[in-house]
Amino acid sequence: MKKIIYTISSLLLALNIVNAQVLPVVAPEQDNPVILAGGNIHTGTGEVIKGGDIAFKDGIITAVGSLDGLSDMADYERIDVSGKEIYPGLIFVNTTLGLVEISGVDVTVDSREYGQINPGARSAVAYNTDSHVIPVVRSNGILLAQVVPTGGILSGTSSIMQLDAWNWEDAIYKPDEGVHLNWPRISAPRGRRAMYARFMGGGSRSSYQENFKELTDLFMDAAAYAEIEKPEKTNQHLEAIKGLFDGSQTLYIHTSEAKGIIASVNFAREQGIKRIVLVGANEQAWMVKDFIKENNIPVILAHIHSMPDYEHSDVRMPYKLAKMFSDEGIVTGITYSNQAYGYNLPFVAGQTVPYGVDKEEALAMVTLNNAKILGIDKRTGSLEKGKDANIVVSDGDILDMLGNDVVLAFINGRFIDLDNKHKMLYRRFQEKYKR
Amino acid sequence: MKKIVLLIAGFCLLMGIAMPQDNYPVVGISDVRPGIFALTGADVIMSYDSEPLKTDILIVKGRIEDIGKDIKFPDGTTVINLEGTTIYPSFIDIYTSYGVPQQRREAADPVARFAAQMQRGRPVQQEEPGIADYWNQGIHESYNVLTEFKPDDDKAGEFRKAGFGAVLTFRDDGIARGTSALVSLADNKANNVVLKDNASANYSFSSGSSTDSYPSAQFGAIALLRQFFIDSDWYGNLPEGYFYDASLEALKNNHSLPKIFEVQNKYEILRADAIGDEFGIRYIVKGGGDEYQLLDEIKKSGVSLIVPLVFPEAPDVKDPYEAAAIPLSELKHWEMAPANAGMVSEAGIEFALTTDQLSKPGDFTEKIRKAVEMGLDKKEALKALTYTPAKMLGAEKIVGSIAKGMVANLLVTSGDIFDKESVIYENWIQGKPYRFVDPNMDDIRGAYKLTAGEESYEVTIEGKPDKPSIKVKAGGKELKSAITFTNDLININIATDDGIITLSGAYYDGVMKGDGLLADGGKCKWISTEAVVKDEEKKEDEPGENVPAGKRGSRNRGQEGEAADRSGDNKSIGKVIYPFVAYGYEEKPEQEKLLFRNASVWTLDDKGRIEGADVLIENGKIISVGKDIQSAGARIIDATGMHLTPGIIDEHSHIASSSTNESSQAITSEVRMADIIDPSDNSIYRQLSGGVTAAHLLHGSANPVGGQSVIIKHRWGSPAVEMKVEGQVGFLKHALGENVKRSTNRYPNSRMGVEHIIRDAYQRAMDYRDEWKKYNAMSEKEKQSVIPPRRDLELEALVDVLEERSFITCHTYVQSEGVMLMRLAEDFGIKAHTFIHFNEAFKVADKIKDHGGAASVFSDWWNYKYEVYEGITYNAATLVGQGVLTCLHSDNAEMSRRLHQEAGKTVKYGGLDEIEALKLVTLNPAKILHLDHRMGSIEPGKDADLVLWTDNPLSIYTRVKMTLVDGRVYFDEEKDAKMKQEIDEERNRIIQKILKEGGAAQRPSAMTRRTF
Repeated sequence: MKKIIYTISSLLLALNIVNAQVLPVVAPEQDNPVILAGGNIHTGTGEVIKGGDIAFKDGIITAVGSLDGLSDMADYERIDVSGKEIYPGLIFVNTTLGLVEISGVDVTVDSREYGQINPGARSAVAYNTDSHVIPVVRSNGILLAQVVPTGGILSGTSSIMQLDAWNWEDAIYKPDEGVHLNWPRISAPRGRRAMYARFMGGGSRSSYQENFKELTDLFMDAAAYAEIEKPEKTNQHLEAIKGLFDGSQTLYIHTSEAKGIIASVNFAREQGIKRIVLVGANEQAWMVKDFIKENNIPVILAHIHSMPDYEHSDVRMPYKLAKMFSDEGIVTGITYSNQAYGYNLPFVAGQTVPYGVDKEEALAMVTLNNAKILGIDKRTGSLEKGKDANIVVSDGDILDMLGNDVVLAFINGRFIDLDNKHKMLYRRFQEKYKR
Repeated sequence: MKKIVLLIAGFCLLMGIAMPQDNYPVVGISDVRPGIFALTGADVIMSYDSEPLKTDILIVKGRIEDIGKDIKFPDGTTVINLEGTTIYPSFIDIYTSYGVPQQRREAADPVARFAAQMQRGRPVQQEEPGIADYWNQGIHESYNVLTEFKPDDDKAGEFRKAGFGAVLTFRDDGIARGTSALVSLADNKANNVVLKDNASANYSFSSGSSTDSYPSAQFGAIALLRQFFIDSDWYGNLPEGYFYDASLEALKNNHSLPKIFEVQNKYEILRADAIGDEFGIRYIVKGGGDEYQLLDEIKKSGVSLIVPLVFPEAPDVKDPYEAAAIPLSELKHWEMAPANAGMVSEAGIEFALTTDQLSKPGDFTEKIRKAVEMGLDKKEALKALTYTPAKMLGAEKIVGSIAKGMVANLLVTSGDIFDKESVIYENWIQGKPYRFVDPNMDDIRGAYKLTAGEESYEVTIEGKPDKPSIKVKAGGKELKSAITFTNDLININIATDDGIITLSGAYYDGVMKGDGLLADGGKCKWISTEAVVKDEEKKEDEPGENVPAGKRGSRNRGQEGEAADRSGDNKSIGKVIYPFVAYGYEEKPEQEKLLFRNASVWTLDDKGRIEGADVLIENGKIISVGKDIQSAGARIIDATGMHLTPGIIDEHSHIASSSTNESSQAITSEVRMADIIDPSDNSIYRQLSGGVTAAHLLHGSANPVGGQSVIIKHRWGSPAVEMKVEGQVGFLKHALGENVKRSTNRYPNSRMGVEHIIRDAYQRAMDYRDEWKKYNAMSEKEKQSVIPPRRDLELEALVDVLEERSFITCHTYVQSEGVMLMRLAEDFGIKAHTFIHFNEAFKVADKIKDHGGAASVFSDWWNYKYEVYEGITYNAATLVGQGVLTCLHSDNAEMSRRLHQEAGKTVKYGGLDEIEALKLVTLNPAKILHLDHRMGSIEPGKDADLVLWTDNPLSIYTRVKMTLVDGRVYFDEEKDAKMKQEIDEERNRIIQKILKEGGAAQRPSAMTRRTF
């Protein structure tokens, strides 16, 4: 149904407006080296280089700073971006972008698999590069996304995708980098949720114990399995998580309970898992901040644009947590809960600024910190020589809607078309009103 | 004497005493006994307001024949000496379903209620009832409880033990529940226990066992009740043989009865009262036990109350992580609920007490004593259990006090009935005694030194006097032991290291003694004498006191004072806050005279924004705006570097309401958001922290025509009625598209049907209006000869729209349905006034402009369902560009508190200028809501609904410093931080209290000497 509608509408668009398509064309590889000259470079490391230049070649940043007098850059194409702001491409972590098209239409949702234990469900293979959502999100400066399966206890395996590709294979930035564990609830739920649990006949402490046992068995078996060079019987579940034991994969623990954090991190440590990230750090997580710090666990904050957790919470607690965690020296990343509104990612980072976070630090929370959390900080997350040329140029402050106006974007040096469905529809109907 | 009493009790229970009236044929040999009793020597409390008086009571055939010192007892009187006891009138509970077959009690059980909601949420077409009764199964006005009532001696026994002699019984099923009866709790034939038929008519907001999908929410129940009462006028004028409705028929007669309305909480008390006021009914309202949270308003409403003694269990606070999740309101309610009855009483509200909501009537004794301990005056308690309930039913001449001619319902107690140490010996009901405790029984509880043979033991006897338990220690070591105690005979077993020793004997003269068998088979004598307790031990055992062994019970009341002292700590409780949730205020903020100095003032009038300007407010209004304003006596707020804007108005919100959707029927224009405003939703305060000062509360989008909305101001802490914006016009929610066609069990299932059913509704409304016009134009004489039209609240709400007292506000997504609604409205000579959400409005902005409609849209929501797949972030800017009156709304409690950011996005998406952008959440919603004459901009004469920001209000970097509504500072960053600190302290105080009480319970239970 959808296809037919959009085929027709694309025909109509083609008839009415020159150069308009449903989706912008994927950018070709960088052929000419480029210098973005004279912009304010926000490196993502906290530094701002006023009126600086940034050069990249073959998709890699070759120089950052003042490039006057560097003779070997004569062949670089120079783009004047003076007065504009230059940022590392933003990284959208823990999202279903590309897996969910229309959340309310079941058949367009590919983020959740049947059952509780699905570590082998890989997001990369279901990632839809032709999603209408992706270019809309991308237009505000988001260039990479960690695409994550949801639901169940072990939801599946995530991959990091770059947001401009013909096909999921081309989109992969780092494949199968993490396994997602929704830590079972320990405390009895309260309020309406409790009512629902009682109504459904669940929510008991014993179900936690059962789940805990199941997880323990699974991880112990997986650790043993990982030592077998060539198993007689391949086990997909165990295969999917064996990278956790040698640190080639990260375990992303999703929990909203203080006790869940302690229990799950202890669990992961005991299982010999090397890389652990806490997803959804909220007011409960703050109660065990010392534990998080001692165990050196990076956190991805719970959705910032949400209500405080409790009636008695500080009414602005969700806005304040970023400052609180980062002041503790905990690596803190920010994400946005809904894939379709992912274009608001820069703004939720900006939201922490009036509550004490430095602007460049806020930027890092959606760039370099997220890269560190994902283990891709050697390749991206900041504007430094040798890193991938994942670069965004905005007319003004990217973290503020009054400033955010992304005019140029590069993924691995490729010059990205920032058009999208919203802009196209806007133009289409502006045409109508011109008549 | 004791023996005589026992004997009487025995035969009464078996045979029963002759009742004054009986038409039952004699079966076998007749056995009618005299049934004459004289209770002598007791201190009698005749009624709640009289002092104890030593006098005799003569009971003949279930009634009090005479009272006095020197009255003559006729021959055949059984004289019972009750010297040393106190006699009270037995209690009355006027909120029970005693003897009524079990109904679905969904109101009381939250899980059942949840399940019912889940079930009822699914709309289906209304079916005809099939019998000549009201069309909705929630209405059972014609039901009379005596068609089903059967005395239930087990249940009656529980009530009797708790001190009750009579109860009102009704069937707790449905919205109109029919009539009740006042019955005694005697174990007799139903004919004999009914004291008053049709004692009350009962109501609630719950549909109970009804399988109709309507009403699915509280405002639907209110609307149904309203229509039902209105129908009774129409029904009363119908000629005979024209139309019969059993419930409307019954209502004719029930009009004169006392009316009892069950609600769940304090706000619902006011809702019940409000619907009562519409029809001149003064309800007796059975509340939920949280009345103390809204005493002033309840008092003002003039309702009388039936108050349950339901005290929540202490929340589990042993784990600090889990305790962190327990809301302040829950902790405070745990602490304050036992003080509720006392506070209701002190407020001067007429009230009766009930056992309802207790897990069993037997729990009542403990609860009432707790309530008394927490401040309920004893006289008031007695009044609420005797006189008041009787008077509420007009039965004060039959029950509720002790007087000649009244039903002989008497309680014989050991003393002050509300004292923790007292016991109820007997409950006489309709002249029949029910005995629980022998007044002459010994109390052996206490500490003893027990010697059996060579060995001696430390013995503690505790528990209930008639069922004691024992603890035995020897050489500091606890030994397993057991005791039985029956009519002074004692049997004790003790497990020693050598084996078990068995002792038998009796208690007399303060000593237990007898013979025993030792572990080795040797016989022994044993004796136990009261232990001497050292002072030090006493202190350690706080809060209990270790007292020497019980002597023969002396009936003094000397313990009273000590009992009160012991619980002194527990009595100090926190303060009531308004509303009763975290960040509620003890006092409403004052209306201040304030001068904002040197702000960037976004006036949003033709000046747009003035830099470095002052704004003066007084009495809730803006007085002047400009440079260098001087004013004596104003508090000056230095706003240098800050921004001052009008308060944000959220044009589409679902906060602060107890119901959202009456999702059952397709057309539910009769339901009103104004009926169910919930002022305790802390979204109100949270939104104040985001600069929101007013919100339009809409019905949900489940139906093509939903309910009537209401506009509130965020007057945090005010009762519902005061939150409503004065002088507002009406808006009627309509909805199109996916949400309304989703219910496959109901018309409509397509956008075709949506159009059709709305058209039909308006056509019916036109015809209805004509019908009434025609009728109203008739002379009085002509009117006599016709049947008057029936008032229909559903159609009246649509007529209001046709006559522009109310306006269409319509949930719309795709362009086709938006255009459809405009054309449909035009066919009826009206406008599609406000399109809400309308993500595709940008496609037909020109048509909306031509039609004269307005749009209330999201800034950037899209793609969550198919009908918004083409929603775009440029929607608002496009509409503004085409000259459509446009605002941004939240439809979401969280987003509402940063609507200023949403407005900021229109600068980015579509390039609106900043003034126009801020208007989208201030002046424009005020215009759409017909409130721009008093809200939406900063101009002299307008309401002082203002927000002070640290930075440009459209920027992500701004923060609200201060939010004012009507010149009252409802949010202030500094005050907020202080409140947060106080909230933390209060939570900690109560958590500590719970922990201490929990700790105390784990220690050996305190031993006190009882007086029997």
